[in-house]
Order: sequence, then structure tokens, then C-alpha cells
Amino acid sequence: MTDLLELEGLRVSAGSREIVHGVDLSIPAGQTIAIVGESGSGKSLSMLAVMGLLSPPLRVTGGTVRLAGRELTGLPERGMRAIRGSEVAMVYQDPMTSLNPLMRVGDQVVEAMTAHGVAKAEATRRMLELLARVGIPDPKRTARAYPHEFSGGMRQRVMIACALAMRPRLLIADEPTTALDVTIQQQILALVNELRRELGMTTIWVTHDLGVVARLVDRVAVMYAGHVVEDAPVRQVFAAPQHPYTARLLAALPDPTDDTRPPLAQIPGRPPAPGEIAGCPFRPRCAQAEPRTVSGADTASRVACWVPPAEWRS
Amino acid sequence: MLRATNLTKQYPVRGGDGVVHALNDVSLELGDGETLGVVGESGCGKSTLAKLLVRLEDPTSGRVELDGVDLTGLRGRALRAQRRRIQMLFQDPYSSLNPRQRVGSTLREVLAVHRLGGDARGRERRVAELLELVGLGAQLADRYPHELSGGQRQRVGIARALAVEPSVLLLDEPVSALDVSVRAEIMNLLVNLRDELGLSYVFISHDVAMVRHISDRVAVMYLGRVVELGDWKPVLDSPEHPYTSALCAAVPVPNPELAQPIQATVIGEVPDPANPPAGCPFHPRCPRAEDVCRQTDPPLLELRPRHTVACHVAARTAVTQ
Repeated sequence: MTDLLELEGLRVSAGSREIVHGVDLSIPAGQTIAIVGESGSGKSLSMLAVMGLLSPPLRVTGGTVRLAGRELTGLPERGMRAIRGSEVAMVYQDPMTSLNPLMRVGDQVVEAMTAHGVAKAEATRRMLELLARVGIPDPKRTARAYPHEFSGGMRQRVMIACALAMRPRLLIADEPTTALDVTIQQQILALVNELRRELGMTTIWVTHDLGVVARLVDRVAVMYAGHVVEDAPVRQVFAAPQHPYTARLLAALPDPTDDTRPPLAQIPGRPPAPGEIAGCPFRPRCAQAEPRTVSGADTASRVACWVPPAEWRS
Repeated sequence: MLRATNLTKQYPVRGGDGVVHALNDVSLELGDGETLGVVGESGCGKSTLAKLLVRLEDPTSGRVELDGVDLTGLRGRALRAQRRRIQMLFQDPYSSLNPRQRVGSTLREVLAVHRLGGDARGRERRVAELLELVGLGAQLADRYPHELSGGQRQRVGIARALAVEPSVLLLDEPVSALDVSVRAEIMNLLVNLRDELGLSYVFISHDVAMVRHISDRVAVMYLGRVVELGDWKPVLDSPEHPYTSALCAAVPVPNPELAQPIQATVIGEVPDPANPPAGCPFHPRCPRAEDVCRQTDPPLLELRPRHTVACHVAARTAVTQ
């Protein structure tokens, strides 16, 4: 299998402060992966870098992004615009801020296609099909509605229609269900999952919640303080996490089958500010930390930890 | 200790002559030291319920009593004295803390308004005590809200609520805006404070996993009503109401080994509360709906001891068993 998306040593900075510190990630065509991390871990910034959507003072300061072998870093905005939407599309957490409030929803889906050279009549026909496919009732009538007339779930369905209009090869879903109710979240997850399979799309789920992606993805990359600290098949991540941070993050979730309801596992301390710590960024919060972790995280391995799991797992 | 009886709240529809039934005949009780989880989705009326319980708003009809005192009839000083005993904690403490006031000053002000903590020196001491109680260092008193992390801000919110020595805390989505690891800290803190100080909680959330973690009893709300109420284990692990079943089944399980695919457990969305469906409010989305559900609103019945359910189908099944 060839890699559809390759990140190599990707660095993102805000002004002179580096926030994403050399992320390596390769995603084979057709695979579904999750990038999991808490606020400030750099997961969304890395994906915005892929989309070429970082706005100053944020910028890529090192490394490469390749899509199907093609170098995206350094591509002029016009070239990026041709790729965005047609090759790679993104669905965001809050559709209210990414849909145009002054434009009818049908027109927004149409524009997602005409921007890439599809004729208006053809785009309109496909728009009605798409709205029906994403579960919007009575597309002919609802296409004329404005975003504010829709519920959060319906808006997210419109966003998905926009994102999939050009049948992109790569879909990045950035917390698309965080703002939704659980029954609606379930509907949207199921919908994206079906469409992914139908279209054979490579998919990246960006989330802070490991639970949401457990049954959706093949692989999980865990990010912490601008580093990928673990990258492994989903079953392995849940059954035998190799990085102490991953293990702690999993333990912090309540176990829905435990009737004794013990206190939730905490991770003492807070993530470091960018540049605050040399070496392993998790060291100050890690019960397993050793002196050598000061000398720099092992970025060659897919688990960035000096201490073998057998030594810290009880 | 806290008892709501037949609470109903209607809001007029803007620019029309209809009304929105935000809350419909809700009755609940909260015992000493007990945690009542209230779970439901947007528009189910859980936040309206919270506002009525702390009397930020008056009910259209119904009563709220605290230790036998009817709060709904109180005014002025008598209301303030009772209100002190029920405090509310919001989802986002950032929007409920004054950004230009240091943490210590915020807490001192609460003490001063309620004439607590004695003189200036006493209040200073009490502020330090409160910060320590919620796991913050006393030096945080000099910080502004924007200098704090989300978790620290929520701790300040808890300290502020506890400053007036309440017996009941209304927690409205207290951990929903927080990261997973911070969520665990705040949940543990809430459980510890409840047990140490003998507090009672109304824990309002859309997050079934957190409600399951902290509650003694659980009320499930849908479109302004309580549709299921009982001890946490039977309600959440063997629910009787089809909505509770759908809600619990929609909770993502952090286990990749589970065989069944991700599937929508309930179709459609919550109906418009200004224009609710006839009969059972859940029937348009219910996989078990029958003719009677489309015509008659089911009453809340005690199908088993301490477990009440508003569902025609569940009631009939319980009778025939």
C-alpha cells in the first residue's frame, strides 16, 4: 500500500514559538486513523498545516507534507486552492462558523463544486443527490434554507455534503461531533463512516476523546505537547498502550462496566508551555520518568518513550 | 430536602401567540447527601429545571421546597437567605467570572455580600481556606481568570459556590468544556467535596458516562419531561424507556473489540418544543411506538419499586410479566 499522506518532521510555529515539534506520520491510502490529543497538543494545527490553512502568526517552519507523493508545503495559495476540496477536504467542529450565514445551504454545496470547474446545472443536480445522501429531508425545499434555520446536526450534514462534493481522496474530520448531542453524534459518526466506505476515502479523525474513535479507526496516533508520542493499531493502543501518557489518558475515562465507580485516574500537573521542557515533554508528569529522558525523546521509534512498557505496567 | 412538585415552565414564542413548553409537570426529590443525575439532550429542559430550582426564574406553575420551605413564594431577604443554601456551578466558569477581578477579590466579595467570614482579616483567611479546599494554592488569589487553566477556573467556580456554605449544589454540565484528564480531576474533586462536606448535588449533563459515574439516582429528561427516574444502576444499565435505551446505546464505548458497528440508535431529531407531537413526545423517533403512543401522553408510573417510567409499552410489558 502506498502512503496517501506523509508528514515528515512537520514543524508549526506561532511567531518565534514552535508549537508542533517535528511530526512524522504516514497514512496509507484507504486507511482510517485517529489523531488523539488534548487542547494544545498540536493535533488541529498539524491538520490545518496539511490543508494550507494556517493563518499568521502561525506558519509551517519545517518539514514536509506530501499528498499522493506531491509536495504541498511551499505550494502557492492558488495551487493549494485547487487541491483543497477536490483532493483533501475537512469537516470542522462548529459548522455555524464554517458555513456562510448569508448563503442558502444548497448554494454552498453547489459552490463547493463550481469552484472546481463543475458546470452549474450539473453541480445543482449533484447537490440535491448529496443532500439526500447525507440525510437531509426534502432536499429541493431545504436547499433554499439558510444555515441558522438548521439544527446543529443538520448543519453538520450540510458541511459533510460540501466536503464530499468533489469526492476527495482524503477527509479530515476535526472533532465533527463535539458540539452535538450523543444521539446526533452517533448519527453523524455512522454517516461519515458509511460514506468513507462507499467512496473508499482515506480518513483522519481528530479528537480529544479516545472513546469516540475506538470502533471507527484502524490506527491511533496520540499527540502530546506538539509531539506524536505513540502511533499504533487501535486494538494495541487500547489493550496495551506503549506510552505512559496514552495509558493515563485511557484510565481517565470512566469504565462503563464498572459498578464500583472508583475515582478516575488523574494525570498530575499540566502540559508544558511550548519550549518549556527539553527532552521528553511528558517527563514532569510521568511516574516512570528516568534521568535519561532529559536528553531528548526518541523520535525514530513509533513510541516516544525511553522506558519499556513492561517496566511501568502493573 | 429539596423537592420540586409539578414544575411547569412556559415561555411565550417571540412574535407569535404560542408558548414553548420548556418544562412540563416535573416532580423530583433530592435527599440529604444524595446526588441526582439529570441527563438529556439539548432542549430537554434540564437547564430550565436548574434555573427554576435556584429560582433564577419563576415557574409558570408548581413548587420548589427546601426543607419544607416553599421557595417559590419567597421575596427579598427571606429569598436571599434560602438561596444561599442552593448554589449553582456553570459549564464555563470563564463566562461567569469577572475577567477584571482577581480570584481573591471575587471570593471576598461573595463573603462580604453575604456577611460571612467576619472582618477583613477573617475573610482573607476564609479565602485561603476555600482555595485550599478545592485544591488550589492560596497564591492563586492574586491571579486573574485569564491567567488560569480551564480546570483551575472550574475550581475557582466551585470555591465561589462553596463560599456561602450551601447544602445543595446545582452542577450544570460542570465538566463538559474540559479536557479528558482535567475532567477526571474535577469529577474526583466533586465526589470528595460531596462526601467531606455532606453536600447534595443535582448533576445536570448530556454525558451519560459522567452521570453514571457520580449519581445515586438518575432522571432522564426528554422534551421538557422526566421520562424515566430511579436508582442509577437500573435506569442506566437496564433502562425501561426506549429513549433511555437509545441514549445509553449512543454513548461511545472505549473498546475497539466490540463487534457491532457504529449505528444510529435513534432516528431524527428532537421535535420543536413550541410544537410538540401529540401523544408521547418521543413517539416520532421511537422504534416501539404503537397507536396508543401517537394519541395519549403516557403518565409516569412506578413500574418497579423506586423506578418510574413514562412509556405505554414498558407499562404494559411490566403488567403482563
